Amino acid sequence: MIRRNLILKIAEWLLTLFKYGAIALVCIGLCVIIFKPQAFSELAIDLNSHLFTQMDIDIPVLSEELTGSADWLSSAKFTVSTLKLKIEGSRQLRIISFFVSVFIVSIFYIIVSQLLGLVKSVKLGSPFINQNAKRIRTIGLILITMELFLTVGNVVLNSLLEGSVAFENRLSSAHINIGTEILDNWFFIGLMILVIAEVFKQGIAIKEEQELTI
Amino acid sequence: MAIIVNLDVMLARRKMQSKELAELVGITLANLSILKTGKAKAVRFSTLEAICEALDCQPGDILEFKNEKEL
Repeated sequence: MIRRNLILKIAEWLLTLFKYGAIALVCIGLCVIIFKPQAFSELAIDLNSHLFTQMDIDIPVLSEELTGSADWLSSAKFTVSTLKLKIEGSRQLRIISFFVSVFIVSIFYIIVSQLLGLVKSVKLGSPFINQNAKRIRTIGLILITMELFLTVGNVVLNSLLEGSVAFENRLSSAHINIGTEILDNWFFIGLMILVIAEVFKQGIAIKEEQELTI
Repeated sequence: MAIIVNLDVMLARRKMQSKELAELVGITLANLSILKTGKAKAVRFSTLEAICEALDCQPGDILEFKNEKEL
């Protein structure tokens, strides 16, 4: 009992921290982009190198070009198949990645606030309510929409940058990744969460039936 | 629902108060009022038995079926 309460308390603290941290992050980003755009990249590196200024570009390379070995793995051979480059600095890129970052942070914010609601209702001792089923469903739906949005965004950005980014001989296959590695492939997880929400809903129905049996 | 609970009528006939019945049957007053207002989804046979015993009546005196389609 004590341990359960402790876990809930820690979860509540962390989630509250994340919730306001997300707001603060967007506010700081906005302030800097409005008042002092020059300082933008330096600040963003301090906050989180993935948010706000950078984009990754994956470039497939021929396997013969870059190989290496490590002493402690006897006779193991490494082959580099993808180079990861970071691009930063240009104004357009900054604006694009700012909006991507705001998008991701707001998704994070919504998910965290839903989770916070869940934790609070568990703490109150009545988690099996329709509102919680809705919360879980929201999380699942958001993850799925986010994945779709990011996929579309990546495709659009790739087609936009295809003609304008040139790496010698490798233009055609360069893949641009808009700095969303942490949130990659959430589609299946979203689907799983949706299924869990349905299970939860049926649980609520059973619980209501049980409560209204006299 | 098409099943109507006539506990009020039976209580009045026996000149018994809800609180008294709840005590006799061994359920809370809140649950008894859920039963009376028709919010209940099911009644345990054991509860029904206790109510019938306390009120000295048959289940048919408490429960009634009205076809909603005819209304």
